[in-house]
Amino acid sequence: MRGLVAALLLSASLLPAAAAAEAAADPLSWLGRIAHAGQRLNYTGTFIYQSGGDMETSRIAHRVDAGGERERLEVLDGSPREVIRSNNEVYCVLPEQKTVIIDRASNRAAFPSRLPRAYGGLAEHYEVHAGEVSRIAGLEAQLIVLEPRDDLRYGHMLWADTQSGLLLKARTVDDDGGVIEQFMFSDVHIGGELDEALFASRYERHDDWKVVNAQGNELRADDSTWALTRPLPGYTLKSVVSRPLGRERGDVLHLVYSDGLASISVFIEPIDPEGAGLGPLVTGPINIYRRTVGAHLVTALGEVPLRAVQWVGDGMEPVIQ
Amino acid sequence: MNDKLSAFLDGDLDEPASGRLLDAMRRDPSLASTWEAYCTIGDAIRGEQSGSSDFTARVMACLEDEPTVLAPRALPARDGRAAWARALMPIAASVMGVAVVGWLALSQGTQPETSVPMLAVSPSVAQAGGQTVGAPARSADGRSDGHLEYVFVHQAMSAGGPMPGGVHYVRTVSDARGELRR
Repeated sequence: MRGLVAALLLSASLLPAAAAAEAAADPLSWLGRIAHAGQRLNYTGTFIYQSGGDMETSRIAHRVDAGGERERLEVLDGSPREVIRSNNEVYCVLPEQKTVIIDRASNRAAFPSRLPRAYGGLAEHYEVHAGEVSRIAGLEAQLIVLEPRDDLRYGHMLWADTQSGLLLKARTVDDDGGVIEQFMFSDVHIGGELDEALFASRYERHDDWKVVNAQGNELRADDSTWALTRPLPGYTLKSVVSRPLGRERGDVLHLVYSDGLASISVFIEPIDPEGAGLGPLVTGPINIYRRTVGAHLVTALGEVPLRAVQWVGDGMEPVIQ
Repeated sequence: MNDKLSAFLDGDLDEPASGRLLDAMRRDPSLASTWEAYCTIGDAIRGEQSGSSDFTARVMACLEDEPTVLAPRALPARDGRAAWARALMPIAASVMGVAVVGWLALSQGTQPETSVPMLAVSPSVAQAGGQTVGAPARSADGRSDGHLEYVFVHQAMSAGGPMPGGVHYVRTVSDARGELRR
């Protein structure tokens, strides 16, 4: 199945630009094309990220060669921050907090993250149609609209370069049409050779920096000690990861549910007596919902409506074995 | 000195030199901290093919358990074993203080939680485990909200929806994520 999907995606990416005219006929194929372009193209650019009333400018460079994918993202406004990715390794560098968060996928091939996904299934949960062709960052862009078929996910508006398929602009909207978040290139250069220096960290790490290792152990779904008692329509369990919390604190169990586009993470950990507030929270486009179950704290979060994270948070129960 | 740490990690340091290094680590917390950083990120930076990861794992395992023989595999086993264990245990404590903070270090350790006012809650929320619902706590700078690691690993696992490649990580590092709010 994966081979078939890959073949379909490959053929989609090879379509000539004139195929843009056919977008209206097959908007779903554009989603595969967008995903493929984001992984397979070299590009550098400056983009604006907007969440709520706040805006921020960032610079990004992405390269693919025989060694795999390299990527560096640097926030240009406010405090300096950068994210460096080398294939499956991700470093989140926060110089002001003297912190590096590291994640490294040990066995992520089985999961859809960063892989072109089977977008056909999305049509069950979103109505997908092509919109107008407009101009973004000096390039001709095709609009693809994903309207959710229920209130358990947000809508998406995606503008892709008609030539390369690269996503030039993306807007997430709630059911009132309000903008949850928006990303847009103001300037982008696609293709060409990219120098190694573009991908090096600009910050020197010193001894007093804190290194937070976010790496976990992948578990089989059957081995999960917690489960969702009432399935969330359209969302299926995609991964189960166990992450150590530290000595005598046990592990935190991390489950990811996804509908193919939107994802919800659930974290289950031994309760911290001095723990944070419970209930619903919002941070940027991400809704967070916490509750306690016995001696455990359950945190559900995702770029989805609050009712969806609340559904998942409320539905988590230990598996009786 | 960092070269020596690196050599130690690789098992390339002879025993007298290792002993001196361990002593130096005991005296100098920053050196011990560097050692911890080497252990933690060594795997990621050096790659899996490095022989050091096994040593790192054994260091960590040893720190968790009883003091046992702890030497890079490359070193020949000699009479100095007990000395190794003795030399390492004080370091074990200081290393442990940092090494196993785990991925939730920030939210568990450095986020002073302010007192939370009780707020009116919707019935559905109130029924959830019978918990009261408080406003989110956040630290003074407004962005170290303690959810950074949650959001980070969520992004890492979820591909961030339609955004290309690593663009979605901007959510993790963005100030524009704004403050936690209800």
